[in-house]
Amino acid sequence: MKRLALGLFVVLANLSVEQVSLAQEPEAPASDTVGGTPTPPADTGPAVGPDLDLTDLSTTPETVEAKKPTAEAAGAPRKAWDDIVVVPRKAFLKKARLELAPFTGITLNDPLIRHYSFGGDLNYYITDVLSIGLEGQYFIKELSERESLVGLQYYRVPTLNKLKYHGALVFGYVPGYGKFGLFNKYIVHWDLTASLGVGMIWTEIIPRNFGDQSFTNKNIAPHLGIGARLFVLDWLTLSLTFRDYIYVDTFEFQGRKRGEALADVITESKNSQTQLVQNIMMFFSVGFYLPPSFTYRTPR
Amino acid sequence: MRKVIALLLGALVLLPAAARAEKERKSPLTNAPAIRKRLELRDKRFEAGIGVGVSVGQDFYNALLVMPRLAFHITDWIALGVVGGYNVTPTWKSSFHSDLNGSLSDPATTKSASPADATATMNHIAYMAVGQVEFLPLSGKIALFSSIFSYFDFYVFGGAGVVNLTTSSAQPGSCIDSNGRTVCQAYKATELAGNAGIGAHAYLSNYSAIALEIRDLIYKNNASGRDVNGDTVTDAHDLEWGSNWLFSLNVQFFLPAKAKISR
Repeated sequence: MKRLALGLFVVLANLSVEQVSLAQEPEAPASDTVGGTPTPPADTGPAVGPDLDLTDLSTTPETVEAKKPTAEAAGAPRKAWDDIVVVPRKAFLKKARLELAPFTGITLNDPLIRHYSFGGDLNYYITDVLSIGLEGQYFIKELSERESLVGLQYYRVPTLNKLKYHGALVFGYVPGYGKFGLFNKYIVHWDLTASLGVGMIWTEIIPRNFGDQSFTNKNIAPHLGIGARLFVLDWLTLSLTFRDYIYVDTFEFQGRKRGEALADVITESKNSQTQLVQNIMMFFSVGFYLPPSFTYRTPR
Repeated sequence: MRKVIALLLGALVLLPAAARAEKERKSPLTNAPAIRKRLELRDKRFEAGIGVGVSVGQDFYNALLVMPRLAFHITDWIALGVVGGYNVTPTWKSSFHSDLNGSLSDPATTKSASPADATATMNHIAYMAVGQVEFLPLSGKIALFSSIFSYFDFYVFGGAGVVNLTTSSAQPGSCIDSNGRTVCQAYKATELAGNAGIGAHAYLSNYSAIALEIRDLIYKNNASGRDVNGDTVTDAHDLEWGSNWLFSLNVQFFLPAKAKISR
């Protein structure tokens, strides 16, 4: 019988705990009041419930200032979040992580020939702002309408080279780190990226006469890059990057004759038809990070 | 046995109650704006400034433009703006222009123009003026080198305007053939142009900022002033719509100089 009584007591106690836990939620804390006016009881005064009315966010501070005395006089509590200081931590740590970033890109500054690029970056972050990595890409060419008009308008065929492959050792640096609010509702973290690379670019001449043999150039190509990276998940980023590849390229020389030996064409071209080239390219990449998560080493 | 039943009853009542309480508990930050005490650097402010722009990928002439810019921010995230541009380098040839001139023979042959005649019909941008609606959904702060802190925003814009195209030389006599047909003719006109692009402000202070814009001016043109459609004459049928990219960098000042602070 004692046990039954004990059981019933536990049931009743639980029921009372439930009621208390529900009743406590809407109650505004006494310390949230302005000007020392005590908060009226929730069931008798204009206390703010759990759902705060923050719909009028466009109100100017001047208006807020103007409204304050009235609100204070009425003894209304301040918004719950007014007194809470929030300092978000850096959303994404890169130190000692590997980034694999497939990308696609396009050349921007040649009116005659456009190249689409497909490739990837492999970077290791030595610190949160310094990385070292490899870059590789393959190009697909597209001749522009201007290129096709040169023959019609001037009876000339442009001397062009197409890009084939590129590979480089790249040093990366993060000069800036920021965050922005999207309609002041969501916070998105991002950083600025800068890179300096040195590598090799393979190019191939496009012979002016169909049927003539082409030859390939291997050029040392340093490059500079700048971009922005958005942090999406702990292991995923999106990047937009501009890179400028600078190299000396060899083009088909002007006086090439039909049937001329390729070795002679190469020699003559190297002697008379080299030019400093700047290829400005825009890339979009998706970065995958390993390990896929990270641990903060400082307290919140 | 009774003890077990009693404990089970207790658990049955307690667990849903605890779950409901957890569900109804709200963070004190619920409904708080993402950023508080935010500097409203744009709302109801005028923006005026001047800068330089440079064309990218033009066929025959690159252009360096002096570009004034004026805008009014209706809210923190939408603005109306006007941008002008005056080309101060009308003779800045592209590398393609130089290569082409180098390959043309002087005097002209029966089929191809001389370098001077070819150049005479190539047009360039003289000036531009466009209006635009700017949409600024993104704004925030950035730390440069962990020591310089700046506010910034990103925006997209679209609008329309005019672009004036002209040449520096007179029409060459060789443009009229023996049958009296116009085989080449420089296209000089003020064209209606579409204007779209993206931009960013990096604030130097509460009242000044660097504005970077990348815009595409879309208009009809025949930059070479020569036959395009293959009918051997040059006329309005040879005009084609094309993209013309401009990068610009401006120093902008905001009025009123004092920015409001949000809640």
